[in-house]
Amino acid sequence: MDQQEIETSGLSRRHFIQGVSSAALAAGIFSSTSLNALAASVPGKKGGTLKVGVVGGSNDVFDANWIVAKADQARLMSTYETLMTFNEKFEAVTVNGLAESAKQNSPTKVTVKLRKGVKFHDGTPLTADDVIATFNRLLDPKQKTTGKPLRVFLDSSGLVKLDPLTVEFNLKAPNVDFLSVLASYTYAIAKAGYDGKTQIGTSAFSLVSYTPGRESVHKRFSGYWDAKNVYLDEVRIIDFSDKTALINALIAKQIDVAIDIPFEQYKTLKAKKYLNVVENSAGAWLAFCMRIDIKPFDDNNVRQALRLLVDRKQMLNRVLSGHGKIGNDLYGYIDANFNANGYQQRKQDIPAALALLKKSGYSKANPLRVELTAPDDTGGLVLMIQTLADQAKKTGGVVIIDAKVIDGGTYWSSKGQYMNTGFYTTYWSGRTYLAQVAASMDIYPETKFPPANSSFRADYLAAAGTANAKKRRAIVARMQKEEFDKGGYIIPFFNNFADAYSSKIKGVVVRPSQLNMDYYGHGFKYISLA
Amino acid sequence: MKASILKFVIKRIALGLLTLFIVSLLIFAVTQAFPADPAEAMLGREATPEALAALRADFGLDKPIVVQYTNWLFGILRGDLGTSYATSISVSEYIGPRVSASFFLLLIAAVGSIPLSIVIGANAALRRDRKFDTASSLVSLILAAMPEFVVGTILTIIFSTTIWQLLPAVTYLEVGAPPWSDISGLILPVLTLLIAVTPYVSRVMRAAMIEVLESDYVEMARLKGMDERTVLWRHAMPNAVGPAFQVIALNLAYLAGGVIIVERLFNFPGIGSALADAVRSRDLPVIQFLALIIAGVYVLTNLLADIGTVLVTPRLRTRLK
Amino acid sequence: MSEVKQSADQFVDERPPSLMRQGFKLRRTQIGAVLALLLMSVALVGPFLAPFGSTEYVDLPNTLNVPGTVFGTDYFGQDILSRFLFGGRTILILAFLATSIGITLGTTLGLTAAYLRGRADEVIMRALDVVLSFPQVLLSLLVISMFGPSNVLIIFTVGLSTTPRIARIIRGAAIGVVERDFISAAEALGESRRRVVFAEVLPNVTSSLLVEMNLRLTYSVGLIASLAFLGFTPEPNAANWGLMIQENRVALTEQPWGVILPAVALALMTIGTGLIGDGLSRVSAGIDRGGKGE
Repeated sequence: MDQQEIETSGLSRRHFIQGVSSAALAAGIFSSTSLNALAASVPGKKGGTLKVGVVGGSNDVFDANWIVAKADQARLMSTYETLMTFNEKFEAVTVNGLAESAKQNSPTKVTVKLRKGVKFHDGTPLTADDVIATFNRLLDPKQKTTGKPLRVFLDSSGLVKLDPLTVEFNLKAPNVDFLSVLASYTYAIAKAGYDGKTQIGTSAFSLVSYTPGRESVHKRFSGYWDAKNVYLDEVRIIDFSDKTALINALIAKQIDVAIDIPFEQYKTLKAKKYLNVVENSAGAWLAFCMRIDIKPFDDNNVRQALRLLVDRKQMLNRVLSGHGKIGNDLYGYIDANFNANGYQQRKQDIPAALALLKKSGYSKANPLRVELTAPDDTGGLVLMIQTLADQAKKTGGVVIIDAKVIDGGTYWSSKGQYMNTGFYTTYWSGRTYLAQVAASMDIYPETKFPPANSSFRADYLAAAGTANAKKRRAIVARMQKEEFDKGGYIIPFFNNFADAYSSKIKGVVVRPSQLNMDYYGHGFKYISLA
Repeated sequence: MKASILKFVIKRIALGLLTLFIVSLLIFAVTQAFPADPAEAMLGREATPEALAALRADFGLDKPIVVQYTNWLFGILRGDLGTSYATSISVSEYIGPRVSASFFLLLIAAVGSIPLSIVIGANAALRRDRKFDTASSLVSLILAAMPEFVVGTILTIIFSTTIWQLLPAVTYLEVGAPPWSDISGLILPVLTLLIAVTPYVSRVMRAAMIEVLESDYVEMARLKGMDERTVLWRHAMPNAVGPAFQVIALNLAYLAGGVIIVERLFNFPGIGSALADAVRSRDLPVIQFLALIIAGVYVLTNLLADIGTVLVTPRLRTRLK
Repeated sequence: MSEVKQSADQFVDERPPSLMRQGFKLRRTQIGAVLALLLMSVALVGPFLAPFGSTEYVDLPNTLNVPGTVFGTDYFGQDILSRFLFGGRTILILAFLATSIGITLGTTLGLTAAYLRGRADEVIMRALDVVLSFPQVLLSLLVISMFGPSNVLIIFTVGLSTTPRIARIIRGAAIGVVERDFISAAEALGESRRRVVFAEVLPNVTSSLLVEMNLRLTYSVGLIASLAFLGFTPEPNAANWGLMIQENRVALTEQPWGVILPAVALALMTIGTGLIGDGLSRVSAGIDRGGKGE
């Protein structure tokens, strides 16, 4: 597929995991493309149907606790709500959440009080039972959900109902930032007894119909707890199989919103007076993964040499037309402790790379020849491997990279290249440092880092349990040093994503967020047509 | 003579069915050879051995291939088309509305392309080597060279998004609404199909007409002193009807193929886009059924064209004796 | 013996004057030849003239006014002109190979069917009908999604789906010829079947063959592009006119050259080969009179 698939960096088979974020979330660091934090403009008129276009197909998933692609995210956010949400600094807050208040009593105890008068789309009230049922579903290994990281910290027995509107979480391992866990967008609350098939949530719009591969229709829910902030009558989320068709539909004014526009069309769309374009940079990243337990990547000289091979600026230009920020092989861009050691930006340094390789016996006569794979359903990754293969030519034949594109179904399957070979690619959305550590260590051990004799894992648990910000920063710095010096990721950049919508629309919140359109308007609240 | 015609018709129908049967075998064999295991594709990374086994049993994937094939075939004949792997709803529920939508699209395109290709082809043959012929030949060549998605993209740019903004860029049919509820949204896809199909078929028509016009009996009619018009209408035209049938069949056949690309380009909710989607997600039941339908349309139209040609062309009828 | 042969020769139509020589007397064939030669030169010599490498990074993607380039950069920051110059070779080789397979197989099968008639004819044509029951795109789609996109597979599928179409035409044209007197005369004289088929029948069916050839040639390029559109490319980012059209399609409104250049090349190639085919078929139609065909 084409390059712009990078923007829907969650296509067919992978799923975003909203992992446990167990770090203190202090101020994030971004460049906001717009100035306002929350929509503060004049309230719009009530009524109208919003047509939202997104790339999707028959593979779409509709579940409160599981997503694969952006279309799935849109539908989840339209139907369900979480206890907490993230603000633009990625701090957990109760605004737009189902919790009236939430308190972290101790590193192992959190109490959440639910709002009064919240109803599900079928009229029944939200109670503590529903919250406990949802988290049990997340903890159940037989269910297909994003709950795996949760199980490190929580067990069924830890979920206690204090009263019909209050839930207590007793953690089995300390996590000082459990409130952020509650803000993970796939930990949305469904009714007790949810079977994954009947979608009944608490959001502003109830599901009227869902036709896989075509569209879902959502109607304003009159019993919504925050009804005063809801303006639209109806929302339609429409699937498009082709990116260009999606953009064309927006240009021809057949839809009002296009999620995840390809950057090729960025200038064209921005030039149109009747459209607004919003670009978000919230620490999403693409990476090359090297498994530190597979030859030749078990040799750190090789790993570091490959990291020095990359011309990151060129790669950013080629893959994303410059829409992003250069990376330094460290993740957690939005975290306050990002790059705690203050490392200088790595640049392409062929002589240094060659020197390292020489130490391990590689030369023109004995070249380092490796295969690098990417799935064909995520365009950015395809361009990345081609770029790296091209850049490797600068070594004059000492490093030869065979870039191979594998069909998505095979690549991501349990026997596919992903996670089962030495050198391949992956993508992630932005999360805080420790949340990412958890995800990369346990859920998707892409690099099999850390090695056996490392203190990394112990450090992780220590940092998760430390409330002291200074102490945590020191631990994190140590962890990052190890990754910087010996890790298995090559992270050339953090990618942006952008949406375009009709300028008739009011109430779109523009601020750094993990999901498009500010979490799809938190279920298309605040948004009005004129 | 009637008996021999009947015999011919029955024979052709029988052959058609045999072809269809072989096609179904091939489709099934081809899709079974897909590398990715459908059960695993459905469950993804969270697949546990028990879940996989359960799913396989559910879908009958653990039975021998021959049994799976006969189950599938008889199921189709019974009307049970199986369950789509990707959407988890029955294939008939998923595909049903799409079949009628695509059928409508093809109908309109056929209604346009058949007379168009016949008229263009016949005119080019009649005015052979003169301006119309050369011009239409050139234009046909260029249009035929362009892949459908290029033609469609250019049309969209001209009429919908960049140069003029007259027509919708995609077809939007609300779920449950009939295919004619967005006529303006059908214009560009139909136009694309017409441009994709007509050049080829009008050339075939032209060649057939030329042959008819140069054939012995038409020559004879001219030699007998009949005026050109009588020659044309009394002798040439009736014998051009046979080739016309072939032209119709070709049109429908090309349209059935072109639909896969055009539907995706215009986001048309039909079987073409469903097929492309199903191939990417390895949705075997959908692939098998749709491939069978499309092939079935081919076989049927060829059958009708063959029978029609024979019935209509006197000299061929005599060969049956 | 020679007298017998001489008398038999009376029944044999004169060997037509060289098809090529006659054909190239026509203006249209000349124009077609010029176009085709032009494009083939671009395809063959292009890589030596290209200012940049085919995958060399020049500047930000989809930029029009890039110093040092004529048309600017494509979707991946590469020079469009250079990619265009590199892009003809593969595509022409692919197209020729695929079409050749189809024509060779199809002609053999069609002639055999026409000459043998009866049972053999039925069996051959019905088998080909089965292949014909798939639209080419569908067949390619299934095969390629099964085995993964590769150039070999594309050649194979295009060749395979071309075969029945050619066979039908050949057979149709050949049937009329086969029944004519001079064939029976040649047979009576004991000429081998194969010689009869290839030497006598073949020259008389060239006109239809030429028309088909031209169509199939350009179709294979279009098929490669269409498969890329659907998401199946053998070598992503290969410099290849068909692929270029799809790769640069999304940025068409900002950087049209990435699509225009290969599309125009494709059009010219079709026109060129079409004119040649047209010219030759006119000439051979003049030579071959009375083929009733079916």
